[in-house]
Amino acid sequence: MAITLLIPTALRNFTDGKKEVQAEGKTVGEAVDNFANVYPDIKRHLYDEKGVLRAFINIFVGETNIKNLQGLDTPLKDGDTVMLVPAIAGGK
Amino acid sequence: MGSNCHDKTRANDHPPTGWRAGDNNKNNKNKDKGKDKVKVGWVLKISLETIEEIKNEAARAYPYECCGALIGVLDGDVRDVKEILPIGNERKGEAQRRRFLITAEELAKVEIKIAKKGLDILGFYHSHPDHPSRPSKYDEDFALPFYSYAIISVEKGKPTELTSWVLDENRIFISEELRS
Ligand SMILES: [Zn+2]
Repeated sequence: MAITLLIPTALRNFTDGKKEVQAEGKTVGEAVDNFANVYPDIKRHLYDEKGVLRAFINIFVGETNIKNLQGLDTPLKDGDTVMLVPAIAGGK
Repeated sequence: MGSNCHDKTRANDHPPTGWRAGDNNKNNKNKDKGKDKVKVGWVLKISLETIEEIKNEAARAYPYECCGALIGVLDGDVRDVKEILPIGNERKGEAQRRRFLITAEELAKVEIKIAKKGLDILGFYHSHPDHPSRPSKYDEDFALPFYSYAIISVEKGKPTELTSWVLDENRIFISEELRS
């Protein structure tokens, strides 16, 4: 499946400044892996040492968090838009 | 926002651990105390009107922390803020006095909304009620690379100084030049 991946501004350093990247995959996990193989520097920001997706990275298919779908196994269809979104925190 | 004051802070009401960018060189954590490093070349272009809007948000939220996104266009090293987008502080109850959280769900909505206008998220702002407008250890620990983190101090309900900060390659906040 050919999908479009939307890259947050914070990660565009690793995608040659691109906002949108095309990727292939039958599932979200596959598409993100394929994407990370093309842009290897981004890997350590997405996955921890054990290869598990980092807790503060959220992935949305359309407007739905994959946590509320089937996680990385969420199936994709042609033309889907997949978005990487961080959570933001701070204080005083 | 943040009126359910009797809500106890839940144990799981914590944001995910920070984004450990780069090699996370811990040896470089000893900051020059009292002296802010200024990132040469990085500029946050923000109008006085927009700063005023942030101040109004901060005053309204006092004694709680407000938060929101800095929206605009990236022009080389200049981040040109065109507008702000206030976002509800998702920390619970009294925790909002000293913490803010923007969930990925809220941010996803923002991304979808601004993409249509050809704008980007350049960073975030939040307030420090009765606390200087300098990043806390907590701010630094949870900050993501690239983004500008603007901080507005609110003294006894009155907004004072706005500053802005960006992480350097060692995950240390560097003060960013503000230009109107
Ligand atoms: Zn702060």
